[in-house]
Amino acid sequence: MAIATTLKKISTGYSLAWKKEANWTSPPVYLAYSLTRPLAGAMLIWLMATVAGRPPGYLLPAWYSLAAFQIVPAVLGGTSWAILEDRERYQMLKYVYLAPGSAIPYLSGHALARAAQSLFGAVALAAFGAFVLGLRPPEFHPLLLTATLVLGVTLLLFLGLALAGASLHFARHGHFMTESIGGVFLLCSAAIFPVDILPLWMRPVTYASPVTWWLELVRRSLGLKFGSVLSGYSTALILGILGAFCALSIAMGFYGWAVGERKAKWKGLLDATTAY
Amino acid sequence: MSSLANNLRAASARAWIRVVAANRELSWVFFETLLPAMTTAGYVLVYRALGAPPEYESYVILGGVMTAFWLNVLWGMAAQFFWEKDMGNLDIYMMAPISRMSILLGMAVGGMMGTAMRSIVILILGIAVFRVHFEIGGLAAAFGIFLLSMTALYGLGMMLASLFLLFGRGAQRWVEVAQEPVYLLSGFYFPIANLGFTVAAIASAFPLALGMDAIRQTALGSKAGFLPVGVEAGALAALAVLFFLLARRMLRLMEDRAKRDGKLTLKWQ
Repeated sequence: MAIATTLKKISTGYSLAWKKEANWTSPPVYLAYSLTRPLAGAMLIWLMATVAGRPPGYLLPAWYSLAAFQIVPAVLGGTSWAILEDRERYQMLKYVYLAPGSAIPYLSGHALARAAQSLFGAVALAAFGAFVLGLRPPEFHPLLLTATLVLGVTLLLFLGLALAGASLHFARHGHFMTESIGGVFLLCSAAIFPVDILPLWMRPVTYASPVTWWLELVRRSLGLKFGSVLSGYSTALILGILGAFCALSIAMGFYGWAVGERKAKWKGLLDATTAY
Repeated sequence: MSSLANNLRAASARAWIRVVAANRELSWVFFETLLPAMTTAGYVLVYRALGAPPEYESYVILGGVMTAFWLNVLWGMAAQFFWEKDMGNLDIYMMAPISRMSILLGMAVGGMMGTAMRSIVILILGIAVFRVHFEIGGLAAAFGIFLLSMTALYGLGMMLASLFLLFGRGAQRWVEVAQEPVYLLSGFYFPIANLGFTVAAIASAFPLALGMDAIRQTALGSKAGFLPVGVEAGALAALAVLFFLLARRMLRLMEDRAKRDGKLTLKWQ
């Protein structure tokens, strides 16, 4: 019964998030909107590589890393975005608290909707790279890719939940926080360059980022190699590392949210709006 | 009190709100200045991975600096009317005996503090960590071009703001979309001459494309400029005048249309 209720709440959050995301326009315009941003970002990398003479071994892994990276800020920021929109703009977060049970399934539904949207962008980017730019990955391991995606989305969803706990304490413009944290992962996870480029003192930060390992697994599922630093680790070991990060992020997510929510209740922030 | 004095007071009042808000939410210093510098660093490392000449890293730093101003125009100025509508402040602006442009000017000036700080952090990152070199002799010219670019850019921002009087969430979504494509077409991280003459000429309608190209030529000694610096400066001045005139007209038109359609107080649409 509890599982059914939780699933129903996730589904409600998911459906509502889709409506908020997409019902402002017609499906073709929404399609153009969804594809423009990731495509322009990836073409930026393509042009930078072109300007630099397209040295071999860079563009192919960078393109698919960037395609997969679309999911990171979307899922990471999905719950925080839901908090800020529902509390500040639609002023209905308080009603989520009037409903029985925890707010987590409802917020997770929002993050999953953004995950679906970003996954669509990632697939479109991969297809554009393969069929328009001729950037075809040499191999394809669907099982590994599916396992990697499930682990990655779960991990990011719970890290996002911890961020959402913090978002309860930020003003309306707090959504910049999630965008900025996406940028941090772009650098610290060596998403668009190989880890080899980073100075030695910065590499421990890269190893501490779960996204580094997640992107490496995505690349391996497509038979791609980005630099030589990470290639010494076996795929099974990286799966183990990612699994451990996933368990840690689940614990961090529940803890971060619980602390943030408790303090926000005490401070009366659950229905706060900022008018500046 | 004269109309000009009245409008200047309105601009200063709107700017003051931004300054007070920034002091209330000091978290922005971290999230909106220090963290975005990391994205810029990521793009510098892309050129390093590609084995590109060091001057390309300087282009990224310059692009990172200008990104802050573009985002301020998009979110702190253009989209702001949409949020003001949601918060119920827009009605108050409409009743006041002032030009809408003075409100927008206040938003821009008030938001400059955060924008300038973000730009300075990226500049320091470029000089201290990535060893970006500037042509000292060209800095004065580069600063002049920067001011021209900003005037044209904020004029464009005022034009965009007029759209938010009429449209709702849809316009906000297009603001989101206006980030990466503008980075791409304006050559934020590479010289626009690489886009080919036709695309670069089209991209030149956007002030930051010409502004950055001219700044690259003067302050970074780039030889890969699209047009001579003098021509680019002249075009920027023309764009500045054009955008301000268009902004004035569009604000009037959109306000009139929004009033007729009853959209000025429409929330959550």
